[in-house]
Amino acid sequence: MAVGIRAENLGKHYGLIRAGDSGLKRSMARRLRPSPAAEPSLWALRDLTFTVQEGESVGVIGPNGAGKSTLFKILSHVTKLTQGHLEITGRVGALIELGAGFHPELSGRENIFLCGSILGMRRREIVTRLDEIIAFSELETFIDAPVKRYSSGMFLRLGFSVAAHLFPDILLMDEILSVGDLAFQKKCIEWMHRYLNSRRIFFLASHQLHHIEMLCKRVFYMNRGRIVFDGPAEQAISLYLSDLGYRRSQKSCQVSGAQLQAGPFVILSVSIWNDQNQPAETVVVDSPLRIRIDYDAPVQVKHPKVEIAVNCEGRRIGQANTISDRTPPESLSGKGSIDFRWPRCFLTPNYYTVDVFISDGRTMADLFVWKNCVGFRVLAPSGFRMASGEPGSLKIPGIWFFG
Amino acid sequence: MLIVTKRDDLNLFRHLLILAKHHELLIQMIHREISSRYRQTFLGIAWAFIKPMATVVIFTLIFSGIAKLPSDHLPYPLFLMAGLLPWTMFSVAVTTGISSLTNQSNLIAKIYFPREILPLASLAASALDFIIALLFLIAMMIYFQIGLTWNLLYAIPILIIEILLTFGVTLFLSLVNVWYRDITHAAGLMLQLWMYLTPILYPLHLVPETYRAIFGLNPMVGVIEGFRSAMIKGEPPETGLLIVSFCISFFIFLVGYGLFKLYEFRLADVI
Repeated sequence: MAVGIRAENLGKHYGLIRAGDSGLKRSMARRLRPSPAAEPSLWALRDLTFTVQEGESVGVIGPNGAGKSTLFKILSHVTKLTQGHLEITGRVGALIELGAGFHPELSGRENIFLCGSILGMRRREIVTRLDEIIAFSELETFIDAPVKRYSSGMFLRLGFSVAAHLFPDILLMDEILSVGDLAFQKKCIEWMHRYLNSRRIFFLASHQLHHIEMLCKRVFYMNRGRIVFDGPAEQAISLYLSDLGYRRSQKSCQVSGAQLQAGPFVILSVSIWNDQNQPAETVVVDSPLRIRIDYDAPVQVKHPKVEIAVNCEGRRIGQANTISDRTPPESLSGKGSIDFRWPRCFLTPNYYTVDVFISDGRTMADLFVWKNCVGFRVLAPSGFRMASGEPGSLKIPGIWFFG
Repeated sequence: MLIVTKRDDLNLFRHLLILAKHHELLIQMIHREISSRYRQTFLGIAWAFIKPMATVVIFTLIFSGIAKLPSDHLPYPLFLMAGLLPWTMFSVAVTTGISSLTNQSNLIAKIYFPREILPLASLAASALDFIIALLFLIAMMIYFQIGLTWNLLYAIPILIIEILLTFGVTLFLSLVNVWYRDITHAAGLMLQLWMYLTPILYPLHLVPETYRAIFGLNPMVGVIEGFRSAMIKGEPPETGLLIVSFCISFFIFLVGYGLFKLYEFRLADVI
């Protein structure tokens, strides 16, 4: 039978229990005074309808709390639906939380058997693949030592190796590509390409958008429990990035903690402008660009410090501020804009987001912080080739001379 | 094809079939439970002997030496051991089983497998301890020159009753413990009280005739008395007590397993 998933109107509702608030007292109080309004609750998933056929690879993106993990929990049968209907054909394997099933006192070898059977492998399958699993993990010498003596990297490597040899029909992966050193990561990615070529279903939830783009053709862009967009990866990613930039109009920013306002100073918007002097979501390597901050300062702010940071794959790759660049403005007041111009884009093709920090230059107190306020994509010009292997984020801006 | 809906399934027979399909995982979990119990101990599995032995010595000094409790004309250490062994299996399985779910919260939140495997593995590990300690009991029987009879075989159905009861109680308490960790604290007290309400340290005939019927509603009474009769008295167990014990144990098993399966899918959200 063909592997497949068919979901109709999936919904998952949580009644939130505040920490330290559970227990007898609370449930007694609830019995005595049933007040539905006082119960905080949340639809972690709402009205999800989709069909996935064999051979498809689906990426799941969205801000934290969008429902990505809950969707995986439903698909891996860990938690129950509140509403809807779901049909799954095929064995589901989850690569979430590697090494979750390990017991510290048992040896690596014993843990392969334990973890393998937790993931649903038959003993015979494990026995036939045991050598492969050990070789993949590169832990031959330590395999009979208890895993509590392992380093955390060794632990994760063993976890991935077991899971990688499970070969389920439907594989769920939640942000686990950063296992081990670079050589091991490369091995993981090669393994995943091999998996993708078999006629199975692959789900990847990640904040590392270039991984999503590399491995998934179809993408679910989720936000607040719903699939906002279901379609080609490129469209979903650019929609997500533009939402990141223009989220200010929505209240969700405060909730996610992305924005912090500590005074009358407000950033109205942050945008990326290309060399044709137009707002853009994409920039070509080596072409000029500017980051524009529109602000409103009803009260004059003296000696502000403006700082801009650029992030890639959840990591900060660089920053600039007006103090170390020795151009601190005297004051900001009223409505206006700040431009940060780059003579040429020195980033390599990937997805980037921008953080903006406005603080008082004397006391260093934050006036306005807005993380991931805008996202943009850097494209390769024709004929551009990156160094093979692992790409870095910077295209080092130097000039070559030959003598 | 797996169809996931919000409907609950209370067909326990089907759940047992699913459990049987996961027997390899169960074996792995039992292995893990047993080997982690005695890993990095100097005496290892010998603890399965030492603990009951020490208890028998202490209790014999107090309850036979000082309190002069009768023991059905049998040597008190032997009498005590025959009651203590099945009781220890029960109480250790319940104590370790209660926290078996909360100890594996990470696993439960991430991966699906029939959750009853976790308390069941605790039960199996205690059963293994029991079998080892049973050798010790047989050695004592030889020492005290107790003849072995065919009535010994009655121990098998009696132990099956005990396992049903233990499984039911452990499933229920481990489930409740996920919501209310109070169970972990209360279990020690409850088991202590339960132990004194079971004829382990004293013979059943010490209980006044008028209360004996109510007393027998405790399913462990039939189990302990029956096990003792079969093993060291060489007599068939009292059928009345045993039937009551079986009915109550089976009922507890059904309720425990049913509730467990009913709430199983909420575990990942609560734990």
